[in-house]
Amino acid sequence: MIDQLGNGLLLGIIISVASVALSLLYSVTRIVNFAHGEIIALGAIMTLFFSNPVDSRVIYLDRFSPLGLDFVISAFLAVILCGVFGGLLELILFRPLRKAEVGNIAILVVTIGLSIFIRHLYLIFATGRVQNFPLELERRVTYLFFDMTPRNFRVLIAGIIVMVLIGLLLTFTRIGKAMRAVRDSGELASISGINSDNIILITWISSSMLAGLAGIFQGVINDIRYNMGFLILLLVFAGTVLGGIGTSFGAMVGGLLIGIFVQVSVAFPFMEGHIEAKNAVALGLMIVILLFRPQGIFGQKERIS
Amino acid sequence: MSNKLLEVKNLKKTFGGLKAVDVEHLSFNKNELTSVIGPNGAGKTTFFDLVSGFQQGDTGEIYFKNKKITKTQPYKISRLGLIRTFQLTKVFDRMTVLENLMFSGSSIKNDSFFQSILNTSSSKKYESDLEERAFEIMQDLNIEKMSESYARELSGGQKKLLELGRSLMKNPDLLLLDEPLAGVNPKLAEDLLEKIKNLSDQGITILMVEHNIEAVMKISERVVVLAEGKVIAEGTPQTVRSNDKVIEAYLGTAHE
Repeated sequence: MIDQLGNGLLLGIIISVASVALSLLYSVTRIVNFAHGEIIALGAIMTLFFSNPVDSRVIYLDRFSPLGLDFVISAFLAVILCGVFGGLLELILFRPLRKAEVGNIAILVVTIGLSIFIRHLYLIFATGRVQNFPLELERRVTYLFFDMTPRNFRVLIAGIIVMVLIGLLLTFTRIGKAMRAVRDSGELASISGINSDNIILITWISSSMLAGLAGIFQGVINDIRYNMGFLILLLVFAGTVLGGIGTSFGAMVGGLLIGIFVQVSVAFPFMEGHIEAKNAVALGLMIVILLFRPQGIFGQKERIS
Repeated sequence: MSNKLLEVKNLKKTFGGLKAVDVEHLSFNKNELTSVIGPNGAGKTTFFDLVSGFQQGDTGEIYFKNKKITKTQPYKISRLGLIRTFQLTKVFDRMTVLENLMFSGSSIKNDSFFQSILNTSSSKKYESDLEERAFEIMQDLNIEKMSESYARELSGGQKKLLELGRSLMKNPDLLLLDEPLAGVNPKLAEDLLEKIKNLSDQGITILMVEHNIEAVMKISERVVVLAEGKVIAEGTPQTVRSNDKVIEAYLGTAHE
């Protein structure tokens, strides 16, 4: 079981970063974004496109390849692109919908449609092949009491640092406070001199950048597929709900827990030979926890940020 | 230099076939406490929404401090010093009372990203000044015991007090109060009324929508009566009280 803890932490950090992003967007805009998974995948696919030295395997863009940029630079560019993409989604699609006072359920369905649409664009452009970043294979090393490759360990540390930074940003900066204000009441925020539209745009951009980063983590730890974001989306929702909807700190912890549940459950005796069913245990546990704590682990009393 | 703080010309707003607001001309002077009264559906709240930028009029112009603010976004109007409250009290639910006040009082300039991260001495000074001001206001409104409570835990009346406090943190030039006494017990209503009067005496221009006629007549220097979106009377409480049109449209039915 301990063997699986390292894997659990790695899956957990992916889900955690993606959950914080989802939760941030939800709490400020009230949008349940099913296209979140596609933004996750965009991060990984764009990093692959920038970094692959042989053939980016992104058709129609292959005339630009091989770009073969340094991996870290590629990842950085991909995160920026995800932010731009999220910003455009808000400007072109979600802001006009909001101004037209389209209801939350209709917007939810729009995000589902968007998700299917973008995912199949990836299928066309990036093909259905399972791909990997051009990184050397590494041997696992023992850290404290869990095993992982040094690269994955760095991903874990990077994820933790990013989340600490997000926490500080939300708690102490003007932007963070303004996000919390818009979350509580957009109208009230605007009479306090806050430009809600601007704050929502910033939220879309930062949420999408975080989602893209989670996708890159996923690509490094596992692999890259056109539907990688969709595959992990349910676990991301689970992490968000488990932590308490709309609390960033809850999403961090909830995401980590879901990742650990999923991987650790592989080691349960009754799971032998049924590893493909590992998500079931984690999601079942989530339901049980919610029965006893409906508001999620950090819901309600816990201060947001 | 004119004494007008807010001026409204030819302001019209219709919803479907219904004329919600149809005001030819209205102006409000500095330091004056004016009440807007009228039967339900007279367009009082819509008038506030138009002035504070939450709705756009079909036609007409609005001037605040001689600046045209028609079609200006609410956050910009707020930054000019025109602060409103809402009929259904709004607070930042998941912030404490103190946070509510401090957030409302902070200005963009003095709250930069780097200062808050680095915690420079100037930002510390700014924060402590803000906190001091927040405590003064809380003491004045008798809510300092609740400074650490989340705003969502407050009672309706306490939320009204917090809302007033939050507006004061912004040092407004013009304060629009939308039914500040609604749903408040008589004792608190009396206190609130006195607070509002004090604010007016301190030099804040106040424009208030209120259904409690006795209260309105007691503290207002000027009363504007709306009915079906139109101004049917305006003047001192005494003149308005004896105006036939007003009695017919409003007070008459209310006193039957």
